[in-house]
Amino acid sequence: MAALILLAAAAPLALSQMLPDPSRLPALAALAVAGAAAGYANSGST
Amino acid sequence: MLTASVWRGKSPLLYFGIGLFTGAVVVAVIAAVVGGIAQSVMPGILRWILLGAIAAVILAREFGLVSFRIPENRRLVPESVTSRGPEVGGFQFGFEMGTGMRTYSPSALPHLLLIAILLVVPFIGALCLAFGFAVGRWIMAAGSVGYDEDGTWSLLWARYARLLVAAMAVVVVIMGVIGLM
Repeated sequence: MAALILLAAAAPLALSQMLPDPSRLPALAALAVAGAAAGYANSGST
Repeated sequence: MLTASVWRGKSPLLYFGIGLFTGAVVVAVIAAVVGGIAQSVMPGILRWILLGAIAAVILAREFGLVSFRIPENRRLVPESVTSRGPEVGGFQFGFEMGTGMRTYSPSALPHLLLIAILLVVPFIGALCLAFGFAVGRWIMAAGSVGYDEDGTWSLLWARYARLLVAAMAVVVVIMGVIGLM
Protein backbone atom coordinates (compact mmCIF):
# COMPACT_ATOMS: atom_id res chain seq x y z
CA MET A 1 0.00 0.00 0.00
CA ALA A 2 2.83 2.37 0.87
CA ALA A 3 4.48 1.60 -2.44
CA LEU A 4 1.26 2.40 -4.28
CA ILE A 5 0.90 5.73 -2.47
CA LEU A 6 4.53 6.53 -3.23
CA LEU A 7 3.98 5.62 -6.87
CA ALA A 8 0.84 7.77 -7.06
CA ALA A 9 2.73 10.69 -5.58
CA ALA A 10 5.72 10.24 -7.84
CA ALA A 11 3.75 9.72 -11.04
CA PRO A 12 2.79 13.37 -11.65
CA LEU A 13 6.36 14.44 -10.97
CA ALA A 14 7.74 11.84 -13.35
CA LEU A 15 5.14 12.80 -15.94
CA SER A 16 6.00 16.47 -15.66
CA GLN A 17 9.64 15.59 -16.25
CA MET A 18 8.71 13.66 -19.40
CA LEU A 19 6.48 16.37 -20.83
CA PRO A 20 8.30 18.64 -23.22
CA ASP A 21 8.84 22.34 -22.78
CA PRO A 22 5.82 24.02 -24.49
CA SER A 23 8.20 26.04 -26.63
CA ARG A 24 9.43 22.73 -28.12
CA LEU A 25 5.96 21.62 -29.22
CA PRO A 26 6.19 23.01 -32.79
CA ALA A 27 9.51 21.22 -33.28
CA LEU A 28 8.07 17.99 -31.94
CA ALA A 29 5.04 18.40 -34.19
CA ALA A 30 7.42 18.80 -37.13
CA LEU A 31 9.11 15.53 -36.16
CA ALA A 32 5.70 13.85 -36.03
CA VAL A 33 4.99 15.11 -39.57
CA ALA A 34 8.37 13.77 -40.71
CA GLY A 35 7.45 10.41 -39.18
CA ALA A 36 4.06 10.45 -40.91
CA ALA A 37 5.68 11.16 -44.27
CA ALA A 38 8.05 8.23 -43.79
CA GLY A 39 5.18 5.98 -42.74
CA TYR A 40 3.09 7.04 -45.72
CA ALA A 41 5.98 6.49 -48.14
CA ASN A 42 6.61 3.03 -46.70
CA SER A 43 3.06 1.78 -47.20
CA GLY A 44 3.48 0.06 -50.55
CA SER A 45 3.70 -3.29 -48.81
CA THR A 46 0.46 -2.86 -46.90
CA MET B 1 -5.07 -8.21 -45.35
CA LEU B 2 -7.19 -5.56 -43.67
CA THR B 3 -10.01 -6.47 -46.04
CA ALA B 4 -9.78 -10.21 -45.31
CA SER B 5 -13.15 -11.85 -45.86
CA VAL B 6 -13.06 -13.47 -42.43
CA TRP B 7 -13.17 -9.98 -40.93
CA ARG B 8 -16.20 -8.80 -42.88
CA GLY B 9 -18.60 -6.87 -40.70
CA LYS B 10 -15.94 -5.87 -38.19
CA SER B 11 -13.35 -3.27 -38.94
CA PRO B 12 -9.88 -4.11 -37.66
CA LEU B 13 -8.63 -0.59 -38.43
CA LEU B 14 -8.78 0.64 -34.82
CA TYR B 15 -6.81 -2.37 -33.56
CA PHE B 16 -4.51 -2.12 -36.55
CA GLY B 17 -3.79 1.49 -35.58
CA ILE B 18 -3.12 0.63 -31.95
CA GLY B 19 -0.81 -2.16 -33.09
CA LEU B 20 0.97 0.18 -35.48
CA PHE B 21 1.56 2.71 -32.74
CA THR B 22 2.71 0.07 -30.27
CA GLY B 23 5.13 -1.51 -32.73
CA ALA B 24 6.56 1.84 -33.81
CA VAL B 25 7.00 2.97 -30.20
CA VAL B 26 8.76 -0.27 -29.24
CA VAL B 27 11.30 0.21 -32.03
CA ALA B 28 11.68 3.92 -31.27
CA VAL B 29 12.27 3.33 -27.55
CA ILE B 30 14.87 0.62 -28.19
CA ALA B 31 16.60 2.84 -30.78
CA ALA B 32 16.44 5.84 -28.43
CA VAL B 33 18.04 3.87 -25.60
CA VAL B 34 20.83 2.65 -27.89
CA GLY B 35 21.02 6.13 -29.39
CA GLY B 36 21.37 7.64 -25.95
CA ILE B 37 24.60 5.70 -25.54
CA ALA B 38 25.82 6.58 -29.05
CA GLN B 39 24.94 10.25 -28.54
CA SER B 40 26.84 10.37 -25.27
CA VAL B 41 30.07 8.93 -26.67
CA MET B 42 30.18 10.43 -30.19
CA PRO B 43 30.94 14.13 -30.73
CA GLY B 44 27.92 16.11 -31.90
CA ILE B 45 29.57 17.40 -35.07
CA LEU B 46 30.52 13.87 -36.10
CA ARG B 47 26.97 12.62 -35.55
CA TRP B 48 25.48 15.45 -37.64
CA ILE B 49 27.98 14.94 -40.46
CA LEU B 50 27.23 11.21 -40.45
CA LEU B 51 23.48 11.80 -40.49
CA GLY B 52 23.78 14.39 -43.27
CA ALA B 53 25.81 12.03 -45.43
CA ILE B 54 23.41 9.13 -44.90
CA ALA B 55 20.40 11.40 -45.52
CA ALA B 56 21.91 12.58 -48.80
CA VAL B 57 22.43 9.00 -49.99
CA ILE B 58 18.90 7.99 -48.97
CA LEU B 59 17.42 11.07 -50.64
CA ALA B 60 19.26 10.18 -53.83
CA ARG B 61 17.81 6.68 -53.61
CA GLU B 62 14.28 7.94 -53.04
CA PHE B 63 14.62 10.21 -56.07
CA GLY B 64 15.78 7.25 -58.15
CA LEU B 65 19.25 8.69 -58.73
CA VAL B 66 21.01 5.70 -57.21
CA SER B 67 19.88 2.16 -56.59
CA PHE B 68 20.87 -0.14 -53.76
CA ARG B 69 19.14 -2.62 -51.49
CA ILE B 70 18.29 -1.61 -47.98
CA PRO B 71 18.07 -3.94 -44.96
CA GLU B 72 14.60 -5.44 -44.94
CA ASN B 73 12.98 -8.72 -44.05
CA ARG B 74 11.62 -9.41 -47.51
CA ARG B 75 8.38 -11.20 -46.67
CA LEU B 76 4.79 -10.37 -45.91
CA VAL B 77 3.16 -10.63 -42.51
CA PRO B 78 1.83 -14.22 -42.27
CA GLU B 79 -1.76 -14.70 -43.44
CA SER B 80 -2.35 -16.65 -40.22
CA VAL B 81 -2.94 -13.40 -38.31
CA THR B 82 -6.32 -13.11 -40.04
CA SER B 83 -7.47 -16.21 -38.14
CA ARG B 84 -7.04 -14.36 -34.85
CA GLY B 85 -10.00 -12.08 -35.44
CA PRO B 86 -10.26 -8.36 -36.09
CA GLU B 87 -9.07 -7.38 -32.63
CA VAL B 88 -6.02 -9.58 -31.97
CA GLY B 89 -5.30 -10.14 -35.66
CA GLY B 90 -5.64 -6.45 -36.46
CA PHE B 91 -3.40 -5.54 -33.57
CA GLN B 92 -0.76 -8.10 -34.51
CA PHE B 93 -0.81 -7.05 -38.14
CA GLY B 94 -0.42 -3.42 -37.09
CA PHE B 95 2.36 -4.30 -34.66
CA GLU B 96 4.28 -6.13 -37.38
CA MET B 97 3.84 -3.16 -39.71
CA GLY B 98 4.76 -0.74 -36.93
CA THR B 99 8.04 -2.46 -36.15
CA GLY B 100 8.71 -3.10 -39.84
CA MET B 101 10.72 -6.15 -38.85
CA ARG B 102 8.68 -8.76 -40.72
CA THR B 103 7.66 -6.83 -43.83
CA TYR B 104 9.03 -5.46 -47.04
CA SER B 105 10.26 -1.88 -46.90
CA PRO B 106 9.51 -0.09 -50.17
CA SER B 107 11.18 3.08 -48.92
CA ALA B 108 14.42 3.80 -47.08
CA LEU B 109 12.85 6.71 -45.19
CA PRO B 110 12.05 4.60 -42.09
CA HIS B 111 15.73 3.62 -42.04
CA LEU B 112 16.62 7.32 -42.11
CA LEU B 113 14.34 7.92 -39.12
CA LEU B 114 15.96 5.06 -37.25
CA ILE B 115 19.46 6.38 -37.96
CA ALA B 116 18.37 9.88 -36.92
CA ILE B 117 17.06 8.50 -33.61
CA LEU B 118 20.35 6.71 -33.05
CA LEU B 119 22.44 9.79 -33.82
CA VAL B 120 20.68 13.03 -32.93
CA VAL B 121 16.99 12.80 -31.98
CA PRO B 122 16.15 13.19 -28.26
CA PHE B 123 13.93 10.62 -26.55
CA ILE B 124 10.70 12.63 -26.75
CA GLY B 125 11.43 13.36 -30.41
CA ALA B 126 11.78 9.64 -31.08
CA LEU B 127 8.31 9.09 -29.63
CA CYS B 128 6.93 11.83 -31.90
CA LEU B 129 8.55 10.22 -34.93
CA ALA B 130 7.04 6.88 -33.93
CA PHE B 131 3.59 8.41 -33.48
CA GLY B 132 3.82 10.11 -36.86
CA PHE B 133 5.09 6.95 -38.54
CA ALA B 134 2.12 4.99 -37.22
CA VAL B 135 -0.31 7.70 -38.35
CA GLY B 136 1.23 7.80 -41.83
CA ARG B 137 1.01 4.05 -42.29
CA TRP B 138 -2.50 3.99 -40.88
CA ILE B 139 -3.70 6.69 -43.28
CA MET B 140 -2.43 4.76 -46.27
CA ALA B 141 -3.90 1.47 -45.03
CA ALA B 142 -7.24 3.07 -44.20
CA GLY B 143 -7.36 4.61 -47.64
CA SER B 144 -6.63 1.30 -49.34
CA VAL B 145 -9.43 -0.53 -47.49
CA GLY B 146 -12.01 1.21 -49.67
CA TYR B 147 -10.67 -0.53 -52.77
CA ASP B 148 -11.65 -4.00 -53.97
CA GLU B 149 -9.19 -6.85 -53.61
CA ASP B 150 -8.61 -6.89 -57.37
CA GLY B 151 -5.30 -5.07 -57.14
CA THR B 152 -6.64 -1.65 -58.11
CA TRP B 153 -5.02 0.03 -55.13
CA SER B 154 -1.66 -1.62 -55.82
CA LEU B 155 -1.81 -0.48 -59.45
CA LEU B 156 -2.59 3.07 -58.37
CA TRP B 157 0.22 2.99 -55.82
CA ALA B 158 2.66 1.63 -58.39
CA ARG B 159 1.71 4.40 -60.82
CA TYR B 160 2.37 7.23 -58.38
CA ALA B 161 4.86 5.60 -56.00
CA ARG B 162 7.97 7.29 -57.39
CA LEU B 163 6.42 10.76 -57.16
CA LEU B 164 4.87 10.18 -53.75
CA VAL B 165 7.99 8.69 -52.22
CA ALA B 166 10.16 11.54 -53.55
CA ALA B 167 7.69 14.10 -52.18
CA MET B 168 7.60 12.34 -48.82
CA ALA B 169 11.41 12.28 -48.74
CA VAL B 170 11.44 16.06 -49.13
CA VAL B 171 8.86 16.39 -46.34
CA VAL B 172 10.90 14.12 -44.05
CA VAL B 173 14.06 16.17 -44.56
CA ILE B 174 12.40 19.59 -44.21
CA MET B 175 10.34 18.62 -41.18
CA GLY B 176 13.28 16.77 -39.68
CA VAL B 177 15.49 19.84 -39.95
CA ILE B 178 12.76 22.06 -38.47
CA GLY B 179 12.16 19.56 -35.69
CA LEU B 180 15.79 19.26 -34.76
CA MET B 181 16.83 22.91 -35.02
